Amino acid sequence: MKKSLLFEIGAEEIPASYIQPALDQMKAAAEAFFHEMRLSHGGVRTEGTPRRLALMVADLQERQEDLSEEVMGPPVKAAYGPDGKPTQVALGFAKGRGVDVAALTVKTTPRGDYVFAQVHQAGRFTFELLEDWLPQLPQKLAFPKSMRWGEGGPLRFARPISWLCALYGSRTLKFALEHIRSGAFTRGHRFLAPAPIKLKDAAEYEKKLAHADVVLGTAARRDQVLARLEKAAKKYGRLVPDDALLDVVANLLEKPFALAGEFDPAYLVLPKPVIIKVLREHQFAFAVERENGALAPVFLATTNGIERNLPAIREGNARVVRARLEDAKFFFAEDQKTSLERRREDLKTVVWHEKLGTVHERVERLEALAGWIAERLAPDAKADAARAARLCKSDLVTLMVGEKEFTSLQGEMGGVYARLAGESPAVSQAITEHYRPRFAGDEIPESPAGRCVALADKIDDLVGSFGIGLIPSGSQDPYALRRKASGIVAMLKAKTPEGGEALSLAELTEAAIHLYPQGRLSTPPRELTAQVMDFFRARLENALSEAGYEPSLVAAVAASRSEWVAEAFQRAEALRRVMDRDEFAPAVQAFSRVTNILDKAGDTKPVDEALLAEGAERTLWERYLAARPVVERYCAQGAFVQAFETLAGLGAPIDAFFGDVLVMAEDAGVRANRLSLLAQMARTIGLIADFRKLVKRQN
Amino acid sequence: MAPKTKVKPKPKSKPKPKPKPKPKLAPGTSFQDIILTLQKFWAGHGCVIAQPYDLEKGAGTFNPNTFLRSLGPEPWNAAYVEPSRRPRDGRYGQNPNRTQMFHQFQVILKPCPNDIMDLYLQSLGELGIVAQDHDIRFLEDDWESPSLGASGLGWQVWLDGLEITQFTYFQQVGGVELKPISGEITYGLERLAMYLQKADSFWDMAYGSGTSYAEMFRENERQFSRYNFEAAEAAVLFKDFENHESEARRLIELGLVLPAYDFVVKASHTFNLLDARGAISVTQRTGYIGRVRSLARKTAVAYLKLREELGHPLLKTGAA
Repeated sequence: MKKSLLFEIGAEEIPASYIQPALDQMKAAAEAFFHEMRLSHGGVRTEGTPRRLALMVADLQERQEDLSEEVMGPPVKAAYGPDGKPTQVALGFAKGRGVDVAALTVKTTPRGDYVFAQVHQAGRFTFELLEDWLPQLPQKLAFPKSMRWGEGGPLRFARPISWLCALYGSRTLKFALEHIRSGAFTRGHRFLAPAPIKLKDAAEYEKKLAHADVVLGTAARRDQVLARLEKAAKKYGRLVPDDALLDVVANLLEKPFALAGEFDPAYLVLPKPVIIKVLREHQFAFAVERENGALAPVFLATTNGIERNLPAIREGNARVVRARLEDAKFFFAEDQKTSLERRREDLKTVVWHEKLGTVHERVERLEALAGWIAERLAPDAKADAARAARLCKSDLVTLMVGEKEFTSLQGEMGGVYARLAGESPAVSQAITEHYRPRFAGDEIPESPAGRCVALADKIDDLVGSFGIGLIPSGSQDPYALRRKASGIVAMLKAKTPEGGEALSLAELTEAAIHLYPQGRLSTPPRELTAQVMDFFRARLENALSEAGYEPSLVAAVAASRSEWVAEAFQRAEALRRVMDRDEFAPAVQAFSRVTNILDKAGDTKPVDEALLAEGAERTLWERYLAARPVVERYCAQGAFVQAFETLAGLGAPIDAFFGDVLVMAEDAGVRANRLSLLAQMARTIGLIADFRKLVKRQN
Repeated sequence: MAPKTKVKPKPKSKPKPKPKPKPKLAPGTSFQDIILTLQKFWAGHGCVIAQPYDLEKGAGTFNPNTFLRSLGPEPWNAAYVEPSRRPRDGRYGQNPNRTQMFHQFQVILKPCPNDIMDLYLQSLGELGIVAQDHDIRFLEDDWESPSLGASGLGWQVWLDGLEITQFTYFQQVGGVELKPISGEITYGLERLAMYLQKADSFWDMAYGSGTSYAEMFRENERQFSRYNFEAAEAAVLFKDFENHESEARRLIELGLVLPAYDFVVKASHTFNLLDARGAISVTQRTGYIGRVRSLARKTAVAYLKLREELGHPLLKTGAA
């Protein structure tokens, strides 16, 4: 027989963000438990609302199968004495397995003769197992924060547990968790259906809840919220989509309903992102936009299924929205009374990091750095980049951003205020964009000046953090340095002038370090550069992998010249294009032999042609001398396929050389000369990749 | 851009009565009526109706009826109004709903009963707020007072989008883990009154017995905003802070826990004044908060000892 199981933990309103992770944990724990208990089932499902976390299992087997298995014990020698009587070892084994010592058997195994026990275990009823296990489940769930209540624990949960409802088929499972006893009662919507509801069978749970104004499924609730919002928006325009907010709102409700309210169009003087933020962050409300993308003076609020008395609910929400917009309007007006230039003074009181100084010191560095970067990357944008960098952190001390109102609008507000104060479009755009990319996959700044400021902002942060030992390790990356380094890689990869690259990661890093006052960074510059470059190499590998290049290719590309980002992508693409050609495998073998020697070469000197042996050695040298300028020119142009092809032409001479010539010649001078020759070639090959990382793929 | 002024709802094209009549106040919704209703309700549920503690403070939590009484094993149920001062929030009486002084109605239930949320909702019913007719939500809001070394988990309660109450299960006070747990309900009285009176601004609210809220407090807001932001003498306040701190320490040494706690409260408020005055830099802030917290911790430990020495009298009488 199979029956369904319901276990519902009823609680006082659980934080929205806690619900899904808890449901995932419940599902995993249940699946593991049924597996361990050898109970078959037709699927585990977990669903939740702010007031309940529910575990539902279909077709759960009613009783464990009896278990019969043969268990291997000690060797015969240890189990029986010379007199043939069982020893303490055998007695202990039999007792431990719950069998009579006389019932032990001896069997021959590849390892010798061993004692075995035939163990029978009668299957237990599922309801018994559940009554033992279910009370443990709530205590196994981990929440970001948990609490005690009433007499003070030790039981902890996200919020106080109000009831436990547990049925297996029609059987009520009976257990207690501290003072809370399980039962067959669930509850409906807190206000719309407050009376306890008795369940006759686990299977009727979701239907009964639906009748009691609770939509149990999170996805269903989300869909309904969205549909309600879109319907409410229709009269005014279209809903401004916000998936993250939708996820939150769906977990703040048991029964979705939405309504539209209006606000004074005078507030539309506020920038669109500010209004959206006001509605979102303060009221969990959505915005509505017109066809042309401009906002309508409308907000969309949700209710927890309350549809009566809508005018009062609408007016209540509207009053709060009005007050919030009024605050924002006040901030917006006040903020414009002080220029971003003057606010730089206030940045002297804002500590960026206690070891790294104030934000004011930081913008001083950023101004110099952004200008320097622009000289290299976008000379025309130099003045704009420097100006934008000078002002880019001033919005941190505006009311809008600084007074904890809308921290996430940093950059955005600076750009708006800059524009309103008459800064050039390029400067205000650069300020707006300079935090980008803000997350993995986010856009990089569109404008050249914006990229220069964004690069300066991120590299200054990176070398500062590394310089005082704040280096990410494992999952620990509190300052999101990986994301920032990846952002730098993405920006340097994106646009390069034809035929080359104007700025390397190493140059960028050194320039940023150089701008810190002496003694501020505790790691010495050279060591710091090396650390940061290692970090960048990993980010580059990551970026190449995400671009779809296979691991060995990524390793080969990143192992050489990883400080040149755009070029690394060109090299990767070139290798991808040639790696399926027939000549690829032999070339990789040949190049790797050359490069391997390099590790043994030590200091190399210029090649002395007089010491070259006739035949394969001289041929290789001459062919190499002819090929080298060609390869270097192709590389400089970013034509790495042609560079590879040219080098691949040396494959045969290389093989001939290794076949005919003994590199480790007895004569020290000859030996050193040969190593020098190979070292020079290895350097040229390294312009494309470290081919040794590709050898494995060939085998 | 114009300086901040109250936005008066512009008359729309809809038909409207000629002179805008003052909306009639619904019965029981004046500021003082709300207080009387809540006092009566909670007195009926076993709370002692205490009075505000006669010191300036940032919140009802600072009242010894909460801070000290939530410590230790003895039960305690109390309710009281607490005028609360947040010097930084002053807006010279210009802002419709932000002031440097406002009123909390504080309920402390220890141990927190299982039906505490139902009781709270019943109290709203007494104020005429029927749950089925409004959107009432309990939204995650964990509370922490760094200067009191106190923290708890709970919600802010929304009524049709307006936050009207903080609801907190205390977990720790003065750095001490609590057992049993106190439930704290903090009604924002101005918010509730604004909602019930359908007012857009504190300054449009009725206080009661024919007196307006503005008459009661608007001049206070103007004067205290000027004091907090402009006139307060930082040098004097710094000295006050030092004195309050050393007095608190000295009195704890003498076993005078209750007077010592007064000086903790005074030190905390003095810090808030200095903060509003802009006399404390960002880097100094955490230092000052840490000093108040250290006093709060010492007081909490001393208070636990005091109640123990007194033999936990409320346990014996079974008071609830």
